[in-house]
Amino acid sequence: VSSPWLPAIAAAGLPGTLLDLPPSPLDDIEWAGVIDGVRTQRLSGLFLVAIDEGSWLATEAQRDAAIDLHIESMATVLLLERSMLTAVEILESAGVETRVLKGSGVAYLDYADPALRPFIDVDLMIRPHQFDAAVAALVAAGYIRNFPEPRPAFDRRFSKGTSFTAPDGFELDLHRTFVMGPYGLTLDLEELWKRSQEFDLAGRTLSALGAEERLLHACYHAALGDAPPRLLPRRDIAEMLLFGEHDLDRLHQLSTASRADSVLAHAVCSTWETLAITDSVALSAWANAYRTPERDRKDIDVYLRPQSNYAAKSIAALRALPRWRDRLAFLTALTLPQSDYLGRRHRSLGSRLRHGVTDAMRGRTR
Amino acid sequence: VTVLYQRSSDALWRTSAGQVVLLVADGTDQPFTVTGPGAAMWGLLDVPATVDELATTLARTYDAPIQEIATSIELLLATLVDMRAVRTLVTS
Repeated sequence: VSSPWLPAIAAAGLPGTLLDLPPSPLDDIEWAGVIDGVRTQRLSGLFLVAIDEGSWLATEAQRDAAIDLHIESMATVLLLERSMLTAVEILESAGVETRVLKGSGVAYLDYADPALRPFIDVDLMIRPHQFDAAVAALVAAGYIRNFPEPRPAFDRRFSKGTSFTAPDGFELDLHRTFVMGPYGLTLDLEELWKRSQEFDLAGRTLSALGAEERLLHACYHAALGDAPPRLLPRRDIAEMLLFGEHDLDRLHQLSTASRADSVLAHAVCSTWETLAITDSVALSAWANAYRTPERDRKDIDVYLRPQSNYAAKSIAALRALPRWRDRLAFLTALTLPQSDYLGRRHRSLGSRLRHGVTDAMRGRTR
Repeated sequence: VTVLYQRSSDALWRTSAGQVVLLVADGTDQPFTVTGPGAAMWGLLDVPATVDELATTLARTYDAPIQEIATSIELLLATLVDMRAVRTLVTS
């Protein structure tokens, strides 16, 4: 976080936050840190509203800079949405069902104004059994896969997903599950796909996850997505819980079936803490009282360590696979991948193993 | 013959700080912004409207002469129609 004011910007407009905004316009040096942080944390929409409502005091030049930043951000969002519509059309033509993750789905369904929720890439979720068909359809349409599959069938069985560079130059992330590593493998995908919520975009109707499924995904994203964690996923959680309506029985059913109660609790507690929210809701009270089992604490820690990498999460993922046959297939794919995969991701097999094992052991011995 | 104007259903857009950022979904153009009364006009185009109806509402909002407003929005509408961000409906 490049400026101490950023959490307050992320919390702007939330009921019960104790975070104050500066009492007067910032000097140029402090302002530069804020505007840089607003850009990297994707808070331009919330920031502009705070300025225009008078809760953030800005000079005329500062307001102009904030507007320019947000307009630039919205222009990117529109280009991404156009790119997403093209990808969805390609996938639908191939008979592949999609769910919009994060991005437009959250912006349209969970925020009062979609302009408050910028994003920088396109994320689509695909059913595991349709993953290979989705990849084939996109490649046939000119999308370039950024990393090859380690071994055949790895994507649809084990991976988080894969990413592409679209013909228009934007990145498309195709998800099989929410995250890589143990929590990606225990996610109950069958349950997750049972419901959806639709939204309209440019004359098309798109499917996002259902409201509780989106909230669960926001928790995965906030708790496990980035190290150090970003502010916007936490704002997503606060926005959903403080302004939305959710069936908490359904949410707990999903998280328990996915062995993700600890993820849910961690994400909600860290959101309430980071954004200094004093208002309690049923889920924040539950999260506050929740005691994380030691095994879950270790698994979550694999995601939170700044030096954590693909190999460390993969090794931690082994424990989440219940069947020995799956463990063997998973391990074989990662230790003896196809040569083109190895060449793209790591210099040698030896460095892959060393890197992964060292990092995993570091986590266990902490 | 009456000409009505309405947002194209395939337009992508966001509004913020009195500006509208627009992109046509199947076009090749880069996003562009509409500001001031033009942004207010965009807000009115969720339902079909004539130039006169738009000018009357905007003249009231901005306390400006209707004819002056009408001339400006005709130019803007022509541009938006050309970009396929706005569609026309002709009724008789």
